[in-house]
Amino acid sequence: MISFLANPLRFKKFANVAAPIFGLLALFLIGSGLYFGLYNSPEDQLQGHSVRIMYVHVPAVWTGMAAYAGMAFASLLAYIWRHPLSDELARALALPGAAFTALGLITGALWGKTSWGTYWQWDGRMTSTLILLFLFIGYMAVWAGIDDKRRAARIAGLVAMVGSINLPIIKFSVDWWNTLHQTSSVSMPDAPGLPGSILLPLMLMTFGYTFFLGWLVLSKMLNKIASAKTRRKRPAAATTTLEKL
Amino acid sequence: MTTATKTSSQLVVTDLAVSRGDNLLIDGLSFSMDAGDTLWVAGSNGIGKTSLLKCIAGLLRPDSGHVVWGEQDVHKYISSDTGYQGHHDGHKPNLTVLENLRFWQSVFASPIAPEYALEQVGLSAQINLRAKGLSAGQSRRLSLARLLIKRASLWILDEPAAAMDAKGRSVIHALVGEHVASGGCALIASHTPPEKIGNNTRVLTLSGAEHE
Amino acid sequence: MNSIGGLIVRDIRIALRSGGAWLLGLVFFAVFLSMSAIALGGEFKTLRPLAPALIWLAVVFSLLFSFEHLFSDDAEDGSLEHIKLSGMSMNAYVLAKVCAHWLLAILPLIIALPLAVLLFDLPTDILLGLFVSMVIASPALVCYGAFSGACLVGFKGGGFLLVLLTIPLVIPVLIFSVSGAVSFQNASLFQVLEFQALAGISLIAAAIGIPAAAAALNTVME
Repeated sequence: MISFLANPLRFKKFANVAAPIFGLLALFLIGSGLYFGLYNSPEDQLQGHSVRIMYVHVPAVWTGMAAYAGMAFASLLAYIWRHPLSDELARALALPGAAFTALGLITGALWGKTSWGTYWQWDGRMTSTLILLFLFIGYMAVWAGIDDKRRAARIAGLVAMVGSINLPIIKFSVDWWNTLHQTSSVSMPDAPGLPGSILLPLMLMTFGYTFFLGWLVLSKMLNKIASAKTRRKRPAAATTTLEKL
Repeated sequence: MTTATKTSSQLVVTDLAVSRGDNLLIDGLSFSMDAGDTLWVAGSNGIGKTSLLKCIAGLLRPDSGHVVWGEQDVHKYISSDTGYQGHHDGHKPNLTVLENLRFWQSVFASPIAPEYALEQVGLSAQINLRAKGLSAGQSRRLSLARLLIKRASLWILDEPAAAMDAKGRSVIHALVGEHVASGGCALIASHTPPEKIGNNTRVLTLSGAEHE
Repeated sequence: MNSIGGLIVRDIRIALRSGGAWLLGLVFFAVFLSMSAIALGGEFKTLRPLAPALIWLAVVFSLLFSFEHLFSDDAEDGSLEHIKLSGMSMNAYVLAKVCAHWLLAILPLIIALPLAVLLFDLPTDILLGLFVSMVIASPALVCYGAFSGACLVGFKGGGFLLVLLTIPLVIPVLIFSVSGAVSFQNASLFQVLEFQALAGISLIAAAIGIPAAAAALNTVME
């Protein structure tokens, strides 16, 4: 699959077909997810209607984390095989990934206001998500700040890889730190025990977000390929002559 | 990292393409050099002389093609048998001339005494002067001393005569002459007209498209 | 080995002749702590519980700003090209730079710890806890700082970005160091869970940070 798509022409063919499909799927899944989540699901006994924020919040955080993982993996592929498409994939994932993480934080804060009474709590999950957002911003700043694109791609790739190796350590340390001062965290129902009426919209939204991310990334990469072609008009190389003195 | 053996000192450049940013500077360049050869690289500013020399030294990755020195691709295994002198001298301003060279002697693990190298390039009087007190020409001479300490078979000199007086230029010529006579190779980028050094002197001229 | 030693000696010699510029990190450390004490009202009663965290923040920030020029001097004046062409591996070079930087930037902070502790009127066991946490955690700080510094060679005004890139990586160090320094009071050295975690983090940081910094430097030179 990866080696098949490594060819820019084949990738273009694939993306031209896949991008609209992903877009439509995202529209349908998010639409139905919102319907089931916001209207057709039970209220929480304690939190009432505000529990419905969860259907926007939880999938957003998951998609943000998946985008970071994808970014680190694409960077690894790019680093080993020096394949420019892989760099473009990693780069295209960054901004939507950061946006989903930010959406997760904002909806998390709104949910927090209704259940904790404050917009922010230094609880493990919120803190880790915030740090994830910092990692995204650092990655994008490296891309933006280095003029030479080949160099920017490799440095940003290293940043993404080192960050992804550290993410579990950060997560572990933050969770451990969080147990030092017990905060009243929202009880998130465990996944296996979730009733279908909650699980269905949660899954619909997660897949919807994922296809939305896929649509965004593919369209961005198609754009990049198109603009790279117009930019390709490089001045001719110098002519070289070798003569004996 | 491997040191090429002196017996196989042949430089082979095959179908080399070098670019800087989005500009393709050099395409399809092939040549080879044997022991005792001198190659001048001529061309106007911005044409890609520096990038070409860096690429041959193994410091810049080519778009395509290979540079083989001493039977090894320099972009896979950097060759420590290459002495490079770029635009930047790389001396630490707050260390004395001798301290700068002593440091390089330890890095290169060289048996050549810094004092001897300084005598060769005519810097004996400045031995305890801090490098920031050197003039531009003296600084280039100190770079030459580092080149002597390294004892590499392939010399790649990027405008070694820049900021040098006539005496300095003759020192360079004498040193390069000695180097190729003892079986070394030398690549020199220069704006001064090429002169014959050693038995086989050639000129590689880059011309045409210019980039800023 | 010889060349690693040579590099360390060279870096220390250059720093000692820089007209005291290498001690600015220490000055920043002192200024940061004084400003914190002033901003918090200057009462020992309120300062004491916050002091370990403040001291660690001062350490982290005074270090972070020191990495901007760790590699850029050698990269910009051409020394790095000669080091690469000498056959010395980039990993060895980064290791030498990291060791020299530890001696120049972290050792003065460790030596200044008793003074910092005086400023907050802390008991001796906290001083010991801070001391141990700094010794164990400092390799992680220098290795990640070196990685960020290597990534941003040639990057104009990279100071803020360097902080942004490094902070997420050193958050675990901050968490375990502050907590370890406090819980060291009523436990023996090897019982403190935080110190074990810090030792692990330092090992991982050295194993990742040094090769990643070397890879970044190779990229910067290409």
